[in-house]
Amino acid sequence: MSIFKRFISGIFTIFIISIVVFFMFQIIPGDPVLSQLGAEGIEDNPQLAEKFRQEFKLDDPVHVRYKNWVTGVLKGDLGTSFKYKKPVSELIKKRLVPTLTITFFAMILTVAVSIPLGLYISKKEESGMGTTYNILSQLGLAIPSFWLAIILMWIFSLKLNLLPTRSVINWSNPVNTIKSLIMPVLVLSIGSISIVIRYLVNAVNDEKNKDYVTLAKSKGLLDEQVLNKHVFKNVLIPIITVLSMVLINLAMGSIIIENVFNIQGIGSLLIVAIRESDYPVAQGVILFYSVLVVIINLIVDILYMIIDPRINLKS
Amino acid sequence: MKKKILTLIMLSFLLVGCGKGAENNSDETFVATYPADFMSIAPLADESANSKMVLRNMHEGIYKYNTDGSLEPGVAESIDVSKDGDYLVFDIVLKDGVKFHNGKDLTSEDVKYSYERLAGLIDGITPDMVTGSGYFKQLLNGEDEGFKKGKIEIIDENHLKVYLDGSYGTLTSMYTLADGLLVPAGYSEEEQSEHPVGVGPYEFVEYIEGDHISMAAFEDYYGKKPSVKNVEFRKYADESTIPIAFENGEIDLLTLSNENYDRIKEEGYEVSEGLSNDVRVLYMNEREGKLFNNKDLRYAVNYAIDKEKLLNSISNGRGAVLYSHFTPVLKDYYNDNLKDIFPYDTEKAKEYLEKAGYKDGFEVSIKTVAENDIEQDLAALIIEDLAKVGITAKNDPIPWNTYYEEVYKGFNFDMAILNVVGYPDPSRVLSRYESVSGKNMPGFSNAEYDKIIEEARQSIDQEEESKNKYKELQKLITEDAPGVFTIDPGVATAISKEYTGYKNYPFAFVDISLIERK
Repeated sequence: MSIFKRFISGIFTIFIISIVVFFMFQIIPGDPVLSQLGAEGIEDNPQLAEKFRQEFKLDDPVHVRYKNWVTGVLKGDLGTSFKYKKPVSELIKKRLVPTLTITFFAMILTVAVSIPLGLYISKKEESGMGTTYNILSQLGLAIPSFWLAIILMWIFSLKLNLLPTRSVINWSNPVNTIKSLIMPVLVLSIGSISIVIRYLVNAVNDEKNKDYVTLAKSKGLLDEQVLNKHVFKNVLIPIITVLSMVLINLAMGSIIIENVFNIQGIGSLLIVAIRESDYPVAQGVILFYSVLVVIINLIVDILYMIIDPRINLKS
Repeated sequence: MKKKILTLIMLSFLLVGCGKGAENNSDETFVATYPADFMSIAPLADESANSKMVLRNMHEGIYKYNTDGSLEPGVAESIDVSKDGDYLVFDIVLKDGVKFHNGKDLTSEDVKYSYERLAGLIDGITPDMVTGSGYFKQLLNGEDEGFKKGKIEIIDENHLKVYLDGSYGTLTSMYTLADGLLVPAGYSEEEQSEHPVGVGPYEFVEYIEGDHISMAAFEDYYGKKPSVKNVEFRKYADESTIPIAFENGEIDLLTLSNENYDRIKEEGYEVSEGLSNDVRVLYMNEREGKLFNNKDLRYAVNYAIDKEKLLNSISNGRGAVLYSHFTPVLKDYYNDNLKDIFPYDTEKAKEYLEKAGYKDGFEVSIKTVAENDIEQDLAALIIEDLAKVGITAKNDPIPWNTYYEEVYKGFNFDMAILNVVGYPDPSRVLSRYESVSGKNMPGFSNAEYDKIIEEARQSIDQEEESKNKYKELQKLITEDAPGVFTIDPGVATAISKEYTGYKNYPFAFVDISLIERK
């Protein structure tokens, strides 16, 4: 498939998502006017409630509202928040930095820990490391992030008094920002590190059983050399696949983590928007994430081609 | 070499760790919390309790609230209320030397502007920009809704007369004025949303959306200067981390729950206890054709429920048992003589069941708001009590939005539990039981009630006689038994050890000016 075709299919995906997202919020119960004004508020001030409905055109038929929304999105207008009465794109832009910061550092930490460790473990698999890593990585996968967050807070904030419970990401105060980042990044990365290590070890094991490894060994190369020269090169492709998945995972994971550590990111924006039936914001954020995923996948496809010319994107 | 670098890096981390630790409050800033972002910080632009409890520190109306919800003239030297035909007239004389945070003196002009701002009488300020305007629109500018058009007459710089439509009555009009926060005339809404200015004990310093809002004691405040000089309200989106932050010394104020109440108290923190002023009620739909149209049946249910048990189970006995739609916190208006009307008495309950023609009990479902944990617990306990007298009830939890449509507005229920949020204004609390009120969920209808509430509204002086009228209203509600008024589970707030003197209000207000540094 050519890159162009991938691009088109990406756009098609986003289109489908836009329909799903929009209609999802129409189906789930939740009256934005009730959320914003409250039952007593509507009763005390029916005119205001009416005005609210008119202002946001809530009484238009669903397909008309969808059409309005999509036309707006194509023009770069994601709509206006019910709650903040501000453009959704402005709200997202403001919250982008904290989310990207923790996602970025979590990704760096994941790569920096999991790849060397994964390769090391795959070399030493026979020496009993296998079981240990298996238990640890199972644990890493199974622990819910919000629980880990509270435990870390209990240790590092309450008992040791080293780190703040509430993260403030503001680079004009680098010391505080770094301290603020430690726990969220750690919590966010632990699951991903486990995933990447497991994946890496399995990929290396798969490769080890392939014919070219037997050939290389029979040529007289040492195990170490076979791994370094041949096997690791070939596991690059699966690693990129899993890393792209992990990146998406981290971006999504930040939704929960942001709330626990009170980080003013896109995730916390989404949670509040859903809780308060602020549909334009919720739709905008979900659409933003879908575009992000599609772009990441597109980049991965291009990377495949660069790393392994055998993967011909044109065929 | 490598090792040296590593050691250095580790050392530097350690040093960072040893530094100021977790932002401990060594400086003299009092830190409180709030749960969600404000729509805007301009006064009354955001009606939510979440914003009111914080922003009230910067603003006042012509009346000032006491901690029991009663009013006293604040910036006003005197306020005389009188009647003039269909109007209620507030004759207001302002104190000398009251200043806004921007240094401007408070004048009659400002009061007029403040009220017109809320009533939709200023060009460019629409009602949706000031959603917290209460009844100002109706009282001053409600011709299109059938009210008399009010007016404001300036006599001199410190003296003005405000003519309000009289139909909401004296008390509600007073409370409306109390919530009519004063702003300097002509200070635009955009300026207010960037840098709010009022006459309150604290002035605005900084607002970082989603993070915190800070305020400083206002040097020229007309009243008692607050002891706490700097305040910061920080946003904590996740409730579960707040207790950790409190014990970690990051914040100075913590609302206690059943889980941490005992422990925090044992650790020697000062705890302020009060009532929420909210009424948790089990409504019985007494409309024609409905099961509970039968008064004896409603009595049976009232005798069957052990409210003490509810209070002990829900809030460890803190808070108060209720006997009518009124909490003891509004003490001047609270009817203290209703305790014995429906004591817990299963024999009586069975007696009334038989009288109502349901000797062998009956089946009923209780509609509850699914999101509300306390209501779920209440429902379980109530079902247990009803079972003891032979009534088979089951809980039917539905999401708030559906509940609103079906039950709150649609009156489609037999039994339903609701948490009715209170007001400091007794007249407004009780007005929901008027036969014409849209909030009258159980369909309570009593001509005498309607007559007395109207009289109470129209009485100018708020002395014994009118207070007794409000007490009488509570009794009429209890005797008709449109529901079981269960409990007010109360609120308890702990304050960090360097401070003292915090008190809860019966509405959303975290009043920092009450707090003293030890």
